[in-house]
Amino acid sequence: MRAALRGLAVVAVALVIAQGRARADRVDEAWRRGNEAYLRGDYAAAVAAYQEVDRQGLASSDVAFNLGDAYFRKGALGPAIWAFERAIAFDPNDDDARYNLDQARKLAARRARDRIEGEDKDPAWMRLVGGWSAATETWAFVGFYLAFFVVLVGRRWARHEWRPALIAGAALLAVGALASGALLAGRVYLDRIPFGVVLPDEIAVKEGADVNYRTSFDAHAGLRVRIVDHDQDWLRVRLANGLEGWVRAQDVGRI
Amino acid sequence: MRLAGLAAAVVLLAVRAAVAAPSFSASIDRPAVAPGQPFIYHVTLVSNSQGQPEDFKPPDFRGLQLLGGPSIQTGVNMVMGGGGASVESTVTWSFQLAVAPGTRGPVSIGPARVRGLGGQQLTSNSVSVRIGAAAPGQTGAPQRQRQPSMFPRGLFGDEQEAEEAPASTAAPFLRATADKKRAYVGEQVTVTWQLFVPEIQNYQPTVQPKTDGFWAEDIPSTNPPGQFTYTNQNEGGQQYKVAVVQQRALFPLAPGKLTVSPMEADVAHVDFFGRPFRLRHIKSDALVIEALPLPKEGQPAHFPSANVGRFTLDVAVDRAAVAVGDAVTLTVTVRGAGNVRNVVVPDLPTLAGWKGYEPKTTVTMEGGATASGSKTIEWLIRPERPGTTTIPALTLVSFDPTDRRYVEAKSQPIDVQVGGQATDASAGPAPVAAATPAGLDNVIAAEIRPIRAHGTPSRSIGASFLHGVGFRLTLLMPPLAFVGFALVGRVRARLSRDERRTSRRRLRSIARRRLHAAAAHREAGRAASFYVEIERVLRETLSEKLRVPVAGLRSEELGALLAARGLPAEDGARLLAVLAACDEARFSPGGEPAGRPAQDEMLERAAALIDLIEKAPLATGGTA
Repeated sequence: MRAALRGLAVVAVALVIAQGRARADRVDEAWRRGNEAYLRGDYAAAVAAYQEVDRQGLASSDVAFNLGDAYFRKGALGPAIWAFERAIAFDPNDDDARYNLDQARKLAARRARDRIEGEDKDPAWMRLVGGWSAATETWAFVGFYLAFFVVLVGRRWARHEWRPALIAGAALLAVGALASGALLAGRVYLDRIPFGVVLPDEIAVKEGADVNYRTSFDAHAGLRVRIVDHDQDWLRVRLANGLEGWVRAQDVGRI
Repeated sequence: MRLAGLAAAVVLLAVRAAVAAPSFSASIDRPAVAPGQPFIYHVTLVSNSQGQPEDFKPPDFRGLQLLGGPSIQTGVNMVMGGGGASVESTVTWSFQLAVAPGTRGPVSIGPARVRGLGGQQLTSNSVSVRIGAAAPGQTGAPQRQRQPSMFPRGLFGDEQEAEEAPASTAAPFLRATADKKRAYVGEQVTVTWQLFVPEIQNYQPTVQPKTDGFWAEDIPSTNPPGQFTYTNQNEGGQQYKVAVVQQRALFPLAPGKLTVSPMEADVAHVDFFGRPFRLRHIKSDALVIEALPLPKEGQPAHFPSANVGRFTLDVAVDRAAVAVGDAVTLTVTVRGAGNVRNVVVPDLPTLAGWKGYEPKTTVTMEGGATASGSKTIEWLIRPERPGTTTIPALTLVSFDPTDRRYVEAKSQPIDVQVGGQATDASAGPAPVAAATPAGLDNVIAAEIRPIRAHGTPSRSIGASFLHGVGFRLTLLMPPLAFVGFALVGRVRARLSRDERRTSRRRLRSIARRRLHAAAAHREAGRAASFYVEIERVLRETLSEKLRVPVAGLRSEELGALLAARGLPAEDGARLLAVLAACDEARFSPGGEPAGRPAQDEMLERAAALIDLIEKAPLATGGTA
């Protein structure tokens, strides 16, 4: 009985490993296909391949960046801006993505530009949290947090003369854990605030969640909006100056 | 006659001497080279002496790139003539060189030097390298020079010597070449990246070149999907398979020296299972392109720098007669070769009585090494009052870099008839929407950074971890573990306290039982048994307290043990004295010496000692 259970456990572990391996191979294959298509000039195929990688939930700045390049080359500036925004969200230090986002925005502005009057700046905490990558914030907090507990538990077995130093160390680590924890909490909160980017060259923002409502204003490719509500296939979006309206969900790409 | 014979002999000697004099000459394998194109420089020593020349000093290859060498080739020839046969040896040093990009020719290669076999210093001739297009038929394998021989090769061992010349050192490399090093702002520069490999290998691009300062258009590849088309090419004496990796049309955005950063890639052989091995990282050179400002002469005011190339302009409407309120599509098309995507199409002028909408722009690029295609702007315009409107001729000014002059392309004016009644909105003239929103300029946007072509995309493990179960476990486990440790410690302390309490209870029970038994012996007048019981109760109490059997220990051994376990010496002495008194009473011939009062006192002393043992903080465990 015990041997059978052990065998089942081994088979289950092997299946999990094989599944993970197969997924990694699928990702790499689609990624390679995307790069080859891009270098060949087949940007539509590149977009399709990068989207296939993206669907695997990789949370990769590289994938978002390459997808942005492929959209850009394809002439789809709205989706390109969305993809570069996502790349920056994954890695705020991604200078290439910032550069390309800037270029895409400049180009989009040549077609049409939304001027938002009375635009509010993001609050300071949002800028602070957004200045670090989620990975940096996570690892900083986990490092401080685990080290704090290790020192706290280790104090019991430490020699008597070391205990004051360990207590001081634990206090410092606690401060670090609190600071990085606050940053991380901000990140989690920020992640729950959905932002999006207008994808088509131009959309009509309606007063209600239906095409028959009056148009409040027009928005153009690349405009960053905050998603505040949804109703079936419609999203209520808010601009940086507080102006709100409804758009079709397919016209806004979530960052 | 004798004089004539003497003269003939002198001439013959002179001829032989001339033949015998070593020659040391330099040459290159082609008359002209293109910048970046490899060529071979040879310098050959011919002499009729056998042996190796010494102290060879190559020329200073200033202004040139040394790609390889020297490789040394030696040969032996039999020369017939001059009244006999002589053996002639040749030594050739070869270098693979290239002219640095941007060099203006010709480039002079100074003399090489060597010490001949006779000890004399020999100096070769200088060679001039002309810069220009490669000579037809000479872009392939450079021909290795060989001295003519009237004997089959190998007869004198020359075949073997020739094969000792350079072993195959063909290494894969990437080459970036530009079709021109100087171009006007907005003029196309075609850059080609070629892969040179001795045999077909797995190719994986790692770093794409950056072309900041250019607008870049990828030239569609002619390679089949997922693979390269290779051609054979001899490069510096080595046989290579060559494939075009990428071609881009670059358009400088501003004057100055602009750099195209190197392309990097990994090449590797692939084993039977498709796994790469013998991985090599290769990198092309960076290219520097000098962008020239557009000539001022003849340049119109506000000339857009994107309008460089050869373009035609077409303007058309989809209908020539419409009713008021009907839409007309006005199409402006610019076709030609150049940076079509960014060419600035002339604005539609204000048309009185017409309303315009946001134009729709379509760019179609054609394949081919030269960027070409068309840019179409479709205006939707709507008349608001009847009459005939003339859409005026539009003019597109462009700079032709080939002819180095500004050219005007002009459309024809178009008349549109509008019938019907004026709408209310036509009370005043309405301008057609401007081609570009006010305040925006038409500068060419800069090029974007290239894609990342690593083997696998990076993964933000931190971001995934944050939203996964692992993070929650990491958050919960340390405090739980800490609380667990604290609880375990507390339970252990409690258990330890309970153990001490149990031990003390057991001690008391033993003592009470033994002392009762001793009292019974006293009452019954069994003195010996009384003292046996007293000794037993003391030793059992000690055994229980110390967790060590002390029944068989002699007096001095017991004393040492008690001292070692921390019993004060005075108490130890009291205990040993009581035990000694018990022994004495048991084994004395008259039994108990002092009668009942002594037994009462002994009982009290024993009770006091038991109490002392019970309370004393003695170390436990171990052995006696």
